Amino acid sequence: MAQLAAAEPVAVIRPVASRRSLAARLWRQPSGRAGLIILAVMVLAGLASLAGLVPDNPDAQNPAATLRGPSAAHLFGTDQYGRDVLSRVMAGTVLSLQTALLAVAICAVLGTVGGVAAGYFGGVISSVVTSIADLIFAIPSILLALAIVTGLGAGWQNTAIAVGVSYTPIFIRVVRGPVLAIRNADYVKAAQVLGFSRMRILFRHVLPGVGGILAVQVTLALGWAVLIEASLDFLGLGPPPPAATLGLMVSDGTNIAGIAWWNLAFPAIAVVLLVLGFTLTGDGLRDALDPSTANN
Amino acid sequence: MTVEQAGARPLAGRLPTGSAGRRGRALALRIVARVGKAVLTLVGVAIIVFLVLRILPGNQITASLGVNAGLLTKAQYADLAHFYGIGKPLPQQFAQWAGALLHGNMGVSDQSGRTVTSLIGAALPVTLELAVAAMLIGLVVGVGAGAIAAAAPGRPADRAARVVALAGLGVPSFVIGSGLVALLAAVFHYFPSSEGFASLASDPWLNIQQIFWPALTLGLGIGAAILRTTRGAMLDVAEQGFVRAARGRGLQPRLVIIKHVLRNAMIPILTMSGIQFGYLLGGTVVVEQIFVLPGLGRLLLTSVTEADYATAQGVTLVFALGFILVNLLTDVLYAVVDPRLRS
Repeated sequence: MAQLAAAEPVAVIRPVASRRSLAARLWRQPSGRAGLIILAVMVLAGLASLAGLVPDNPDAQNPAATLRGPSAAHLFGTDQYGRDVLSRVMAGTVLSLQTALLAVAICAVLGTVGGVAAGYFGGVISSVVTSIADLIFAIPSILLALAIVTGLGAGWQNTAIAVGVSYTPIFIRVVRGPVLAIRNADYVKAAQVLGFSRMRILFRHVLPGVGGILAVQVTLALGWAVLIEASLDFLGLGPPPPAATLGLMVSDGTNIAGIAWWNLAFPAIAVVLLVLGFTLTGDGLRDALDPSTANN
Repeated sequence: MTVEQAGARPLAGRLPTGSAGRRGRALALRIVARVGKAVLTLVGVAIIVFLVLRILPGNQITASLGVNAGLLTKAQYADLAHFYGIGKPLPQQFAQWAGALLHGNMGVSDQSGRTVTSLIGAALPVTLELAVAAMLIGLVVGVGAGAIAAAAPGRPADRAARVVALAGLGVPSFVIGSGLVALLAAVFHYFPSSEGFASLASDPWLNIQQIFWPALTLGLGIGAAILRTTRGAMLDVAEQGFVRAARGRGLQPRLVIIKHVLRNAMIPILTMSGIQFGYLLGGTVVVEQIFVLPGLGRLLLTSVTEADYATAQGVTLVFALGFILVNLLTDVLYAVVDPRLRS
């Protein structure tokens, strides 16, 4: 749902003074700061899990300690197989983050190429690209993802492909508009008159102009990708058990929430924090890049 | 596109432009072009859906026989392929399917043996009811709270609305739904769908209970998005001169908000509502699964996982048709809301 922000105007065609000042401005936005702090916590938890700094092996079953509530030994309690919920939530966070990163890498590249091509060259290319985008858009994204995941089989890479493809039309739409405006800007016309190569104009003059919009969109897309990825896992279309995915943990946790609430609560909180972290950071980034609100 | 044409001028009543007949013809032409584009999109979706489902590994034979399909002799396999109509080249299969579709025949579900039309006919009212209820909740929450927030930016009501909006956006529907199910079961020992689904006609009270919670789950997310758009659009409009002029004339603040600000902020709100409807359709897959509603979303999920092509194709087409119709409706509503777009 984070992509709805795409429809809102993003008035950020002007270049940003410097990278440091952008970071500082992002930090000054309340939402940007909250988002960055949340993301830092989640990324650190994920890195710790990757480094093996977890309380327990996320897949190690312990029949002697099933469905234990939160305690010093198991901060988030244990599940029906006696697995440590904290370790599993951390492993699930890694899976969510890596899926979202791959998915957004796919749609950002496809969408930017498509959007720049449609906006800069116009004509037939524009019609073809926007028609394809409209078609993909008419199929609800979760249905598209459903079909792709069923087709390619379960696994986090395939989930990422599915999510990436279904988000591509949004990137195309978001990039195409500003590129249309930039194409007619004087500095691009000047570059054309000077006889610069098409590639040089695209990479040196057009792409930097959409950098801000892309940064905002990438951040928001990451939140959306986590959301759809977790939804697919929840429906049983992600990596199969015993993989620790947050969506699957929420699904399993719902069935036993009456006797072991921690199995539902902690994975659910992790999903919410990931989505919120990206959404808040994206909102803050947009405000930081928007000259009309940057000084508030 | 129409949004940009609207520009920033306030609504100024009907402008006399050209003769009525010429305007009527231009409008008719635009409607025809718009409907034509919608039909083309639908045809495109049909082709994509057909191809995607054909590219999936496995077919009706492996779906119905499982690993035993490997034991079939070549002749038996060819027989079955002929029976399911999957032995022919793809274009021929598509022409056959599309031809039957034009006659209202969507094929037969391999899993249940029933016609796809009857399966969809049974599931459509459930999803339709759910979607309408969710959209109503979303619009009431979104436009209502958004207007209240925009009326007093920075005040406690505004802050509360923004927190609610953020929560609605950040919490996925499957988390809200799972939380609701767990809460209803743990605290009230209540699960409305445990007795099987009741239609609005057979048991209205039970039906409303069964639809309310999933509709709330979906409506909160939609409402959050509409809230943010409403608030933003209204704050933009509120800065414009004609609003200040209306205030200066001594009009009641509430009247200014409703008649001047909200009315001129309707276009972005409509756009967002249309976009949200698209997500709503996808969301039904998740929410119908959680609340065990026999709607289109559940039908789609089971048909895709069971390689029941005919059903999956039919349901996806119905979803796409719904999306396209809502887009059309949004375009029509633009003209209703903004008289300038009628000329």
